[in-house]
Amino acid sequence: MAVSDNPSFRALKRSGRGRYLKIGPFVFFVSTDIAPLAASIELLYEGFAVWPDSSDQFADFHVGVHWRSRLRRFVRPQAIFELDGIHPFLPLAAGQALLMLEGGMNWTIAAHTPFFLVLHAGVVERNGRAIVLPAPPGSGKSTLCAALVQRGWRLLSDELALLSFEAGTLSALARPISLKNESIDIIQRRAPGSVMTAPISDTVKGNVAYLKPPRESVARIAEPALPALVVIPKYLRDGPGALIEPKSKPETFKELADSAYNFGLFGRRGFEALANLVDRCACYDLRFNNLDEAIAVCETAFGETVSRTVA
Amino acid sequence: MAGAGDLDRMWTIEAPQALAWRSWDGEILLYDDRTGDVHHLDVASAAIFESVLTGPRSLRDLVASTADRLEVVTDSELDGMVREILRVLSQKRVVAPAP
Repeated sequence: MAVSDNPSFRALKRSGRGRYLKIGPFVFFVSTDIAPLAASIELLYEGFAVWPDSSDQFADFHVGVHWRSRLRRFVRPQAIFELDGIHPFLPLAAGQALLMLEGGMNWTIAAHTPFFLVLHAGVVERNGRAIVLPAPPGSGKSTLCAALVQRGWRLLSDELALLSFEAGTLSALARPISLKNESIDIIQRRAPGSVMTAPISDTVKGNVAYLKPPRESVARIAEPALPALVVIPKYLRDGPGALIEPKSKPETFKELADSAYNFGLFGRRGFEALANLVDRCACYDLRFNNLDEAIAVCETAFGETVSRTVA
Repeated sequence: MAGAGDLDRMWTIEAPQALAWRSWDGEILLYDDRTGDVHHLDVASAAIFESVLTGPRSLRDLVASTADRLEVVTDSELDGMVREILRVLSQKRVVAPAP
């Protein structure tokens, strides 16, 4: 059952209740009483499996973004994120409700799942093999990820790589891609048909817009992928078009461990899982200024790696 | 600083069961269950760690095996380097003087 087949998320405005939403390996119960947020959820999560709040579905997490108070919605309105009845973050302006929900869901997964090592990384897939793109904010990771997806790569995730401990596979979330500032126009220009929310302004990251995930990525959300390449991107305004260089495995491991939200929780199991990922991947640093060139060098490196593996 | 008299002192891995490691291009990443720390051993440190891993080794042995591994001559500079690496590895509780 998909979002579009169900009573509209807009109905949540009236009921103040929610829906069960299956996002990759997790089921979220998502609730809101903020109408524009309900509309954004309906837009961005079209095609995801969903159940009404009257179902007896189990949820891994109950999250919601609600008006901070009934009166505050009329005077400098604020919204607040809730997880399982607690408010872990300060409220934000109501116009940032979607940012709060998406960020809150990222945090919920990263801080609470015992089933995956969670890396701050984009992941895209082709023919069952994945490129992992770990990088700090401002590196161009989401822009590159979005551009690869527009080229036909399957989106597993823009923000969170879910690495399984035993199989070493990466699970998909296929959630909306968060684009910031100049990247919003860049990605919109590259694919004018892309569906994107209006930019949310004045956030701590500047302007933020969410790109709807491709239908095919959502339809194939249950398919994991084996990692083949780790590419650590760095956008440089005055840098080369695109320069990709091999990176040592120990240095790659350290960057991945630094990018993992929960590496410290799993001890030796986490070390082995991450080391196995590095073992099976070709590892690169990518400095880029030009998206087309960056895509080309990534695809070349990916093709060489996969063909070596097959041979 | 220790002198020539300690060349026969034996070194061993302090708690092998607590360690997990992965070797890439001669370097090693070493995970320690006791602390949750990951140590990055460069080529010289990795060579010494791997020598001690095979069983207790004297400082004299370690200087010789490191010279072989790195293809350098055995001299006072190498001797000093091996001593320094042992000092650092013992500070991290990776190696310890054998009882």
